[in-house]
Amino acid sequence: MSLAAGHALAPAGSPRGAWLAWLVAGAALALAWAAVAASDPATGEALCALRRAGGVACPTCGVTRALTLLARGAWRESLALHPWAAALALQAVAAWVAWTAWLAGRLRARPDRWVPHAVAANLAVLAAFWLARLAAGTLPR
Amino acid sequence: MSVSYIGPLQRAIARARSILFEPFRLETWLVLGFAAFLSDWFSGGWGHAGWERKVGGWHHGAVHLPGLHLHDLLPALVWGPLLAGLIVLAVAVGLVFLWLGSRGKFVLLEGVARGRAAIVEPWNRTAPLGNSLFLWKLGFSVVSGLLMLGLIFATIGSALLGWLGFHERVAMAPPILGGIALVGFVGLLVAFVGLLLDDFVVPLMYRHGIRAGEAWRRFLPLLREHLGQFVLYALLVLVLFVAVGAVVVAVGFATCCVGFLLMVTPYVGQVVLLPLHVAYRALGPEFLAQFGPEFQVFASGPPAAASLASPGPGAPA
Repeated sequence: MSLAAGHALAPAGSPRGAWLAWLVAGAALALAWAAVAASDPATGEALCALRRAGGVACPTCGVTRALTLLARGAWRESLALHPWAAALALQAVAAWVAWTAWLAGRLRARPDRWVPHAVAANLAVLAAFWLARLAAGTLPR
Repeated sequence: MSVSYIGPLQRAIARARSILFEPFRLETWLVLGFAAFLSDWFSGGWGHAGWERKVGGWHHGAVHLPGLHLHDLLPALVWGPLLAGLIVLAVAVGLVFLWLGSRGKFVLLEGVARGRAAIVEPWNRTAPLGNSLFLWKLGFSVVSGLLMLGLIFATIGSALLGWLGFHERVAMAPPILGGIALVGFVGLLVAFVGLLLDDFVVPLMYRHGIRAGEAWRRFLPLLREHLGQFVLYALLVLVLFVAVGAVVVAVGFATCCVGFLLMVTPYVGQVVLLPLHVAYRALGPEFLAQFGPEFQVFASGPPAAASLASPGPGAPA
């Protein structure tokens, strides 16, 4: 089935608008990182409905606390709490850098074409980590 | 005539995949997500129960008839106009939401029909269609709402008469149970009409560039001829909603409820769930297309001029 969507859905925004969106996204990323760094890794317990209802941590349990530890330089503790949290942070930074390069004309291929693959890969990795840690009994408490 | 249910579903999913993933463009998702937000979020009727609870809670606490004093009346004097103002505001907001949702239906349908992410141009071009849909929905909401209220009050009245001893309680049971069944039946009927409107009448309005009443006149003979098949379609939609709802709940639980937060946030939720919105928007027209070329909404070709608005891409040139 072909709808010629590739032609009809080509970017219509101005370069100025694209750079503004890039700036807003960068600022949001920086703010999120600052908020994570300012939070206390010891708090934030029992937000997980799965853990409350079933006593089992969900696949993303511990990501925020692991990012907080990472922001404070405690990368070993961060990896121990959730091994994929650091990878998620790195991917966010890499995506923004790739976006910068594309807007500046240093990258020919649109970086957003990798978004569906990245989402699918992250879901698969999170599920794999969760199953492995569930089997090993190392899910965060 | 053999009518397929799986075929239209497969074509709707294929259309959503083609628009959203071949290729994946972030701006397509952001723009079509906004169209889905206009189309679906404003049609939900958010906040009505909240207003009713507030009104009910105030009423029970403030009215105190024996031994009236000025300080007893003062809250009523203050809260009365405020309450009336809030009700007027709620009605006004509801009307604005209904209008935005009606206009948004055609913006999203345009995006799905033409594989095109745009807001302003289709919003302006399909304005007569959206306004006609708004008026039809408004009339239908008033009539169905009054009917439901009448049935509910009649049922409660029967129960009260029996409870106060005006009638034998045993004899009151059948009318009360009958009333409840009737309210349920009318509710289902209203939901079915809403489904037919969104899934088939709106696409016909878009396809031919006609008003809601005229689209119903074209659709009703088809409905009479294939009523069972349209009821089965409604059941398919119900099953799909339950299945998708289960998956959404599972994803929400699997993400420390962050997924829930994203999905219920206005606009963000529509962007995150855009494949579902686009596929569902395509399902009705794909099902309808089986009944003849005059019911085909999705096709290639330039739009032709019409009296009300430019018809959809399936219209004959």
